[in-house]
Amino acid sequence: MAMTHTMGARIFRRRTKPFWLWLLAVLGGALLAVLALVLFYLLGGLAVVAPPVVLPGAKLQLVSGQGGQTPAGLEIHQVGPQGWAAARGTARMAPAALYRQFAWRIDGLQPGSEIRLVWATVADPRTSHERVLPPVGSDEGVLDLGTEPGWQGRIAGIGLAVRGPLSQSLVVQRLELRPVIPTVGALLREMVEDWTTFEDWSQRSINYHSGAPLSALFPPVVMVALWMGFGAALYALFDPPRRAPGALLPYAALFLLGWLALDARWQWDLGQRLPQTARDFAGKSAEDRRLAALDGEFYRFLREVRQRLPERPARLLIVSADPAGFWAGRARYHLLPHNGYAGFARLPTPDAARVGDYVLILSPLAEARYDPERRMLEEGDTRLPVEALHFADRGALFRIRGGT
Amino acid sequence: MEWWRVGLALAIPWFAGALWVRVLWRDASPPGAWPLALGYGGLLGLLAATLLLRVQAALGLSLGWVGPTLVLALAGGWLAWRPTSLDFPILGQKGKAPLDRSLDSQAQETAPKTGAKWRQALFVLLLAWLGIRFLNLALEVWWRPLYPWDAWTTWAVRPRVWSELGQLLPFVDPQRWLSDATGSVYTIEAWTYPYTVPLLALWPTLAYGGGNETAANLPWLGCALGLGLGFYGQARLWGASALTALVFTWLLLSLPLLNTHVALAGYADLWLAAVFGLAAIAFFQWVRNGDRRQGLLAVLLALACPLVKLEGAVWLLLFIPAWLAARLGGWRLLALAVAVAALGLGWWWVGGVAFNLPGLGEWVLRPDLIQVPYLGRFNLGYRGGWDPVVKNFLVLANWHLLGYLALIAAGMAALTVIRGRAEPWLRAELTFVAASLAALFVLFFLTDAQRWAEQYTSINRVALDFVPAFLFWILTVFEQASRALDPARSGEPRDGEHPPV
Repeated sequence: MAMTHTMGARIFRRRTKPFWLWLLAVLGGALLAVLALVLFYLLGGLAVVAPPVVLPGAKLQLVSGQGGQTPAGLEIHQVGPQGWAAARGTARMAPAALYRQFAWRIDGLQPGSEIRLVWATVADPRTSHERVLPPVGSDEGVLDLGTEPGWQGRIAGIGLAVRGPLSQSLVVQRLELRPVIPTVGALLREMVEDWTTFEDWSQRSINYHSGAPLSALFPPVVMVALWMGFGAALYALFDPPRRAPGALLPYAALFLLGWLALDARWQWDLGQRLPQTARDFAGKSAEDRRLAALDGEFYRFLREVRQRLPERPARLLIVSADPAGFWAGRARYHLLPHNGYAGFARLPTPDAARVGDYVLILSPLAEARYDPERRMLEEGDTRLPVEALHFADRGALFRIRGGT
Repeated sequence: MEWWRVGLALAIPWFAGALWVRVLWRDASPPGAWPLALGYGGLLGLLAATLLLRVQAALGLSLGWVGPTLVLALAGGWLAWRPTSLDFPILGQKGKAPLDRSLDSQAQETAPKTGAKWRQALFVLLLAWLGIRFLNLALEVWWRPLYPWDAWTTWAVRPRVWSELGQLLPFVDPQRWLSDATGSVYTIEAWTYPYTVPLLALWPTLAYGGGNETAANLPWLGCALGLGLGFYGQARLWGASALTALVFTWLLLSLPLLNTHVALAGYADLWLAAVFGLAAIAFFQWVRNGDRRQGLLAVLLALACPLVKLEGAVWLLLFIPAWLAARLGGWRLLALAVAVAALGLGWWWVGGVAFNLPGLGEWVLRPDLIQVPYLGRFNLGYRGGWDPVVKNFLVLANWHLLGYLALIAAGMAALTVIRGRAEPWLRAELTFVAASLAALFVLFFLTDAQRWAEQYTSINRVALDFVPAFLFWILTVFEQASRALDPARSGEPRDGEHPPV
């Protein structure tokens, strides 16, 4: 009995030893992966992975005031009706904890001009935060935003607001967000954030799934690959590989554990998306689901348009500022089976449009206008005799009539 | 009631196809035969339904699901109730390749037993995990209206029109549409895209009784299920244990990009991945043991590739070098490679060729320009950029760790080749993988499609076509390594014991 017990214990030890070694390799591998990445960033790797986010004047959009692009940058001549001029650009979801330094260069600033940095975060893109910039004249200004309360999470966009009146034009040469080597604690917080960031369905989901922000310092796939690599190396050190049955098993198990970690995270992501989908669409009719979709308001407009179209499919020419864009495509799809074509950026010429065709113009279309007296659609030299059927903020529907 | 009709419309072609495939393995029941039949048969059944819709339209009949369903039900039912077995002369006596008649029983006898409790527990857990994933994706399909871009600009437009109007109205190019006076033609920018995927979306909506996005999207769920079942069945037929086969099936069905193409149904990429992937896997099996049933499945699905997406016609060419690599060993393969290289050099030296094929149009094959009728015109020239490749396959979460796994498998396979132990099937697989990577290199490094790689718009979707075949190749490499280390599995059919193709 005692002998059986001893043999059993030996077999148990023989079987359990590799498991404990394996577990040690798993834990050691995880630790080494984190350590390697943190050291990499502390020793200068940050410049490779997180280069400065530079917004030259050409990438800035003037949202208030008057001005335009020049070779030197974005020129602002005049402030808007609110007394401010404003320009903005994307910050590529830069992590605030990392990109703490803001630099700017503006020509033409007069002493006493008030300029503010404006930004919005990914978490709350509708709320804008502001910070008055210190006067620096035409030199480059640099500001540390580390203590700014609203400088948190990921930055969706940054911009400048200039108070008027302007005695002379300003030229915004560039704005720049610079990374500052963070502390170990900040890096670890960044890692947690990279692993816990939730990514909802978007139109780009069908093309790629980043799994973390594109600028992540600790992309989960890379972290797990490092974990697996270090873990396998440690296990090979603890228990050198030999040609024996099952020799690949610990390595396979390690790899599958890594895959499972990523898959569990993906399932968590899917599990977060599903309730949102359910909240928006579950239990609703097809019509209500369309109204609840991201273009629901637009669909409501198209429903009104459809009511003015005949029962039988009609030829429908859809004119929009962006014929290959979202709204033109959605209009065509929602109005099926009407026989639509959305490829018009301008009014169709009379040889393309025939009497009885319908023309749907999506706002904003700067050049086209309707002359109600002559009942004509006009754009440049193009004139179409039409009957107006429906007007709304989103667009207007016409039917081409005979005559001139 | 309408959903019952949709269920029938999807289930009957599926099970009819499954019966037809299962009958090929009727004399024996090797592990994996049923999953294989359900996977391959399900997809073939749905493809057959689309062909019947085309026949219906060609005969001038109004579109409907009842006729084709009855045809498929009768075909499947006749097979199920037929007491005697069918003969398939092309497959040898009693529908079976004479070369492999012993393989089924051999595989049955020697397949590793999955008796260990922990294996069974893992198997059940993994199956449950996959079940949760499928439920999650199914609910997304069920609730979410049509979502992804190309679905509502391209793939779903035709089925919606056909479904509402009850006939397969033609789609033409915008210029022709503008000049058309009849009003009976429609247009989309991608008017040359094949009809099969729109017909697959149309099929359940005919049963539903009108345009319904949920019904139209349901076949995408079936496609993923068919791919998984087919993959699992083939893994079992290759000799993998039930657990190993399920693990690799999980690796395939857990890929985020593949899952996304189910949840956000509407693109054709998942269909091409399933059809092309399962064709390639059946081809690998056929190369390995000369099983003509696998050859038949490979041919049927390969022929369907151009009907699913235009690039499917190009991907078909990848089977040729793989087949040659399996047939020709040693110096003959080397001589062929040298001859092809010399031909390529000569082609480059003379500046390429251009010719007209009656009925097809002008072909231009020059070092700076490739023009193929129906496929497109591609300006060639190196537009390097490895960043999107590294980012999408090794950094972003599209493929979990598949990129790293493929690198490890490539290393192991290369070692086998260097040691001179590459069996014909491994040569075929490696050639297939290398040719596929070369095709992707040409597309994303030498043509304007490089822009799509940089913008991440299609680099992953095109790669998805190859993922099932690549993952099966990885499975076979690891199976070989595992067998080499385990004398207990020496009773299984060794690679050298399989009759050559």
